[in-house]
Amino acid sequence: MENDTSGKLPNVKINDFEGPLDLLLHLIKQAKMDIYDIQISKITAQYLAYLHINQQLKLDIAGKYLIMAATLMRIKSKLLLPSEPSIDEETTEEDDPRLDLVTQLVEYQKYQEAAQNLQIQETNRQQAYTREEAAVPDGMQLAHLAPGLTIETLKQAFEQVLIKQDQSQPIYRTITDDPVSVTEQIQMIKNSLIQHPQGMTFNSLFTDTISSTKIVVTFMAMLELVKKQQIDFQQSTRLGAIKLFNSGDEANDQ
Amino acid sequence: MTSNIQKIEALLFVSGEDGLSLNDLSEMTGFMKPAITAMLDKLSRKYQMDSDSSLSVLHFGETFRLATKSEVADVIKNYFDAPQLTKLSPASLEVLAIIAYKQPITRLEIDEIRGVQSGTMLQKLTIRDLIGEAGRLEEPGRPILYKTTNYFLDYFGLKTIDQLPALPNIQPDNSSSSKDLYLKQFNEKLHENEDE
Repeated sequence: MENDTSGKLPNVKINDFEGPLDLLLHLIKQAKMDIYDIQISKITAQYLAYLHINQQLKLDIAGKYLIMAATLMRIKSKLLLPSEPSIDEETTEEDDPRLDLVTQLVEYQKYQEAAQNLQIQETNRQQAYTREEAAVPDGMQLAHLAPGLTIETLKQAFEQVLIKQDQSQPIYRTITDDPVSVTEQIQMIKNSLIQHPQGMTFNSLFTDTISSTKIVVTFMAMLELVKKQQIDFQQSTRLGAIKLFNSGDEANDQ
Repeated sequence: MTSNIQKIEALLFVSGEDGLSLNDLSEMTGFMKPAITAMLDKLSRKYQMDSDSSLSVLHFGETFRLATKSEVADVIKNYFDAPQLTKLSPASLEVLAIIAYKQPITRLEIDEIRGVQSGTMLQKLTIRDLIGEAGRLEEPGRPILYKTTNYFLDYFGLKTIDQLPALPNIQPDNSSSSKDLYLKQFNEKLHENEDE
């Protein structure tokens, strides 16, 4: 038994699995067992062998795996006990101590396969490229602007900026002091808006910004300006770009 | 002279990745929505038939967009010379699949199916706007219910949530009837005795 399992397990690492169910499914597939007819003894041995190899499991992760080990051993011991003579023949199926575990595994496996399907969809979708919305020519404004913007969309837009920033993060960088004040950024936004009387997009304020301090300070400056009612936000479509305007600007007066 | 389809095409071209909804298109052209649907259909078919055209009409959720055909994806990657978009991790996909098929659903129900905690995954998926809150369950603690977003549809190229492939159905291998159960248990015990 020992030789049999250790031959198959050396490459298995804790990080490869999402949890005890994932590991168990892997072992069942590897042993080419029918999920509805798990050979508990064999699987328990392999499962324990796996835990032995990964003895340096972190305590919080190990707990989950140990609970499963205990469950497996409980099932194994029940299977070994001679079954009580049951009066009602119909109940035999429900007496199978593996049933709960199998139900759980089948349910989990369903969603694992569904996740793989989603991954195919994801890859396919990423084959289709779109381009950015055309820039509004000078002296014109977007016709389908409708006022109204919720905190939620603003939050989402900011999170998008953070994700973008996160993805463009260089691997190595020097840490330097980065003194930017909200007052400075307020002035920066005001200046930019003077240069862009047609309004400017939310994202354009965050281009080429590498430091997260600066992003946060800029965002705060923006909120400050809204609070003082010096600028307005507008969003044309539900997922469209958010635009900033000077309050009382003619561009906004329609 | 401009054709009607030409107008629709032009609007889609200008709207780019923002795309336009039937409503938007109807408002801007003055055409009725069924007419626009027919025109979009025709435009889409025209692109499909024309092997010299690299364009296609995408329709996810409410939004219609112009995009390149998947056949030219490779050559476009040469242009961008950029690493692949960050794809979702297997764990994220797992959580997302559970939400997609069982929405609205609480964190606890997700944790139960996966046998591990999914809190961090839920946070990441929320930040990426793939899932959102769908109110709270009227139960002690009022747990948050999660659902997929419109962006989810776009991200996976689905017109509506009904377009999700059917949930896999996992059946016993040898369609053994319950009558064999005794025999199986017997055999198993036999094996186990060998093992010890």
